[in-house]
Amino acid sequence: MTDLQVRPSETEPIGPEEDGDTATRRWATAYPELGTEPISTDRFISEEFFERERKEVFAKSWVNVGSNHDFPSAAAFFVRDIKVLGVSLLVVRTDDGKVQAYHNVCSHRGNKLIWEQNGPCPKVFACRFHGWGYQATDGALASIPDEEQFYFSDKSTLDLVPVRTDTWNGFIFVNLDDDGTVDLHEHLGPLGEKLADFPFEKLTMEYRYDVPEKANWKVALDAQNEIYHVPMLAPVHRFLSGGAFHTNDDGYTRVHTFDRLGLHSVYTSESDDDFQDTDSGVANAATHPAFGVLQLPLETPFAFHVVFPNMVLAFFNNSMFTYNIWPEAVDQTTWEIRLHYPKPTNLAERVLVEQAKSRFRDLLCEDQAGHEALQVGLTSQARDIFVLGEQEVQIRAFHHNLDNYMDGVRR
Amino acid sequence: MTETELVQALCDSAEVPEGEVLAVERPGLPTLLVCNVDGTYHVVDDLCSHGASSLAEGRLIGCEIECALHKGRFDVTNGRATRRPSKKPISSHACVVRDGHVFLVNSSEGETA
Ligand code: FES
Ligand code: FES
Ligand SMILES: [Fe+2]
Repeated sequence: MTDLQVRPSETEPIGPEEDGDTATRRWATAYPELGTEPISTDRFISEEFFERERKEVFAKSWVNVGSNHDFPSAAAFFVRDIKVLGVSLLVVRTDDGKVQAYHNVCSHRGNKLIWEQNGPCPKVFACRFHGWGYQATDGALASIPDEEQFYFSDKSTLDLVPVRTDTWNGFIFVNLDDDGTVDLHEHLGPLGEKLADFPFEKLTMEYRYDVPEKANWKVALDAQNEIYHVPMLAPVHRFLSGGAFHTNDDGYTRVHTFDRLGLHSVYTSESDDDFQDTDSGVANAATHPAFGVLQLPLETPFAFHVVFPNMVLAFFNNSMFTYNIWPEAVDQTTWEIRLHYPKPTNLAERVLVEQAKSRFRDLLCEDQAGHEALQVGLTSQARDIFVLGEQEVQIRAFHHNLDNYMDGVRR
Repeated sequence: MTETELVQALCDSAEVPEGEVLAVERPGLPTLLVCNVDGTYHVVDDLCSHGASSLAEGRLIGCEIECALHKGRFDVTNGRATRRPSKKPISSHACVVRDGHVFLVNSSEGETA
């Protein structure tokens, strides 16, 4: 039997002492509402919990479905299938720059309207099955082959079904809840404001990996949402820039700043400007180019934003990576990874981007193995709780927000 | 040549073939690790500075000893931490080989055989 509402609490939790040498209760003190209790295993393996996430989170929340980069030209479309919601969306950008998503479903017999991944925007989207056509500008039903054979009482009810759509700084969000009252601006809240002027448009090179994982979506998110594992997990992790991921004398990384931004959060790593790398480290650092002059207005070499519920927007040196972590089943996830770099100005920089990308991909392969291994352990139910430390406050905050959201706190 | 005082015999040099290490316990001393890097002997503390694991369990890779617990590494020629998660150095100790024995010496420069 599981009680999904009740957070398990063992005996009085013991945490780092306030006056200990290296340990602090910094985050526990700063965010008492997050508690220090263990977290239930259940939320990663229960079908019932997954169902609630589907209904109460993904079907209610604003969800990022891509960015302006996904349009191959000015007036264009792309298709986004969202398995957790069982929908296929047709996201259209028209000549006037307006972005609107529709259910990618023909009103005739329900065929998936557009099968291509993306393309230039036609005047009319034609269904492959019988050729019904919909105007790109507003989704209105525009043409019906052999129309006289049909019995319509009101043809205007047969337009494409629009989905609430809005954009923020080039990122496209949808909300499947027609009755929702929170707009995108309110949903993004302080995070949206913090990054409102961020020059995302400078990052014009993009690489995408869609990684299938046998793991719950939150396993993947949590494992990315901390740097405690960085010095330990695997070889490429150890070589991550010691400047961006400073380790203290004991060899441990530290969260430098952590902020709750409404439903969202951001943490930065303790960094070290004077970091002197080993020879092999120097060679590796060359694969994370800063392109001479840092163009992005970053305060720290590494900053990791979780955009509730399933997006990550992170800066690393002069580049950015974004994740969309798509639940597919309670134990199946697609980890959509995009690496974004500024446009190289010469061949040497172009080669560096290629190296950086490959290195980062290899790093994330180590993480993928880790995610799946975590799921194995959770699924075994050997333990029904697990514990989080001070350096995992980000994870605590995410689960706290998730619980609240499912309880109706929507911003 | 510096005057070196042989402080303590640690082991037979033959006990530590090239590319291998040996943990040695002697009264009054911390456990020491005798390392043979390409025929040259080096002595460092056996205790990893990261999580206090014995380094003797680990692999010697070139002049680096890799801790078996979290795979941190140290340069045995000077004790420096060379790979995460280890960060703090371990102590290194001067040694010489005399008559087939590895000796700890008190000279800071040490001598190698
Ligand atoms: S040490 Fe963190 S999961 Fe085992
Ligand atoms: S105990 Fe040696 S690396 Fe952790
Ligand atoms: Fe990682």
